[in-house]
Amino acid sequence: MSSEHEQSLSTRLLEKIEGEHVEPRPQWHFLLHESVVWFVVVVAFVIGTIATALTLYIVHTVFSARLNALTLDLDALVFLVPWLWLALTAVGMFYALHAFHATSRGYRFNRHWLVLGAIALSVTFGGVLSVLGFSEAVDRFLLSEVAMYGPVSGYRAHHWMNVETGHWAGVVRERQQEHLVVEALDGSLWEVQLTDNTVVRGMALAPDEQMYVRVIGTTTESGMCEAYEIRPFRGRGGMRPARIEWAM
Amino acid sequence: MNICDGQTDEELMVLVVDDRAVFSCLIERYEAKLRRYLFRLMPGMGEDAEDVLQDVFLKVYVNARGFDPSLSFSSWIYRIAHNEAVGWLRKKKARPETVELGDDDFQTFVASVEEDVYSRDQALTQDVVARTLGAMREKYRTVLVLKFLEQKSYEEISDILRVPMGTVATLVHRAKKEFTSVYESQV
Repeated sequence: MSSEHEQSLSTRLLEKIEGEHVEPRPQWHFLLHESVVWFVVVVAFVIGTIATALTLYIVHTVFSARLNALTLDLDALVFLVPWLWLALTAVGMFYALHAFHATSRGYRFNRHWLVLGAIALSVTFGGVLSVLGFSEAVDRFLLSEVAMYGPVSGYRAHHWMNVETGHWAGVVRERQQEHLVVEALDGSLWEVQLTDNTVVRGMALAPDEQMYVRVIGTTTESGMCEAYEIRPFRGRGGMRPARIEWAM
Repeated sequence: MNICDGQTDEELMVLVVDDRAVFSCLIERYEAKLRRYLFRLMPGMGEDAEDVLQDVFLKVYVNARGFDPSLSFSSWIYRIAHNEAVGWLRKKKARPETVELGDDDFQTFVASVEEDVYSRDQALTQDVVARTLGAMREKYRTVLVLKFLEQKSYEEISDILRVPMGTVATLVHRAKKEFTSVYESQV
């Protein structure tokens, strides 16, 4: 290209800029754009982390008894996994990473490392939230206030009220020295024998209409069972009976 | 003495918003380079490439305040040019059949890829190389053009294409393989 042509482009462009009053976009436009992108990164990450916290909490509380009792089967795995929170974790992290990539220098980071980093951070922060009791508070709030939350959050009562697999769920009606009377979710009364080997986790064994418990054990005779383990239904218990999903 | 002498592109870019005349220096510095680059991405589309070139400089001016002076201006303007060219090709559903290749470009390119292609005992000809590049997928063609014709570093290509440096290395490797594969189908 000739220098005359180069000059002509320069001149032509400057005339166009002047003639059409083309102005550089104001600084705030770019600051706003970058701020919005970072806002999306932070919000998506926070949502993903909260969802991770709930996932960790529910998986821990729901599965620990199952694993102890060695009765975990595919059915339980499919129905008890908190898919809702897992999905929200995935969506949150996807948008967080997508938005991060759109920041001025986010593209320089390797995507695989970013995904691993996001998982590590969300599990770390989610774990801290769980330990601090945040997950339990959110879970209990949603269980008591949102009717549809229970069934979609891995809260399937019938998995914990299955005499054949040695699981009972209900409220403690009576406490004696060596046994409890538990009113199960189906309304039946069970005498639960306590032995020296019975493990009681995270609760006091006292009659409490608001305190739903899970019992893992074995049937000894009609209406009686021996408990291996007794623990709150979820977290520290205290579920409202009306919100227990009791559909076989 | 020209007001732009001794000033880096990045320093000039900071001045552009207050002094329109400074912009002409940047146009002069990049006009030839970008025209050549756009002609490579849009071969046989001379007039359209000129329009795209004009749009590129207008975008640079309009977005002058969005430029981060800690980054390379060259990479920034190449990124805009790349996006404009690819956007134009997609909008028009146009696909180049060849790539403009001068004698020097051809020699440079052959020297860069000969290890991969000469092992097939076939001499590369300028015409076939140009058609091979044209027949390649856009993302691989772009990488080869930037790396071996525009002589950009991995870091610059990373900034132009907005991908990590490791991905650039992978893309270059795959692009060479695709070049070989398409080349063999061309001869």
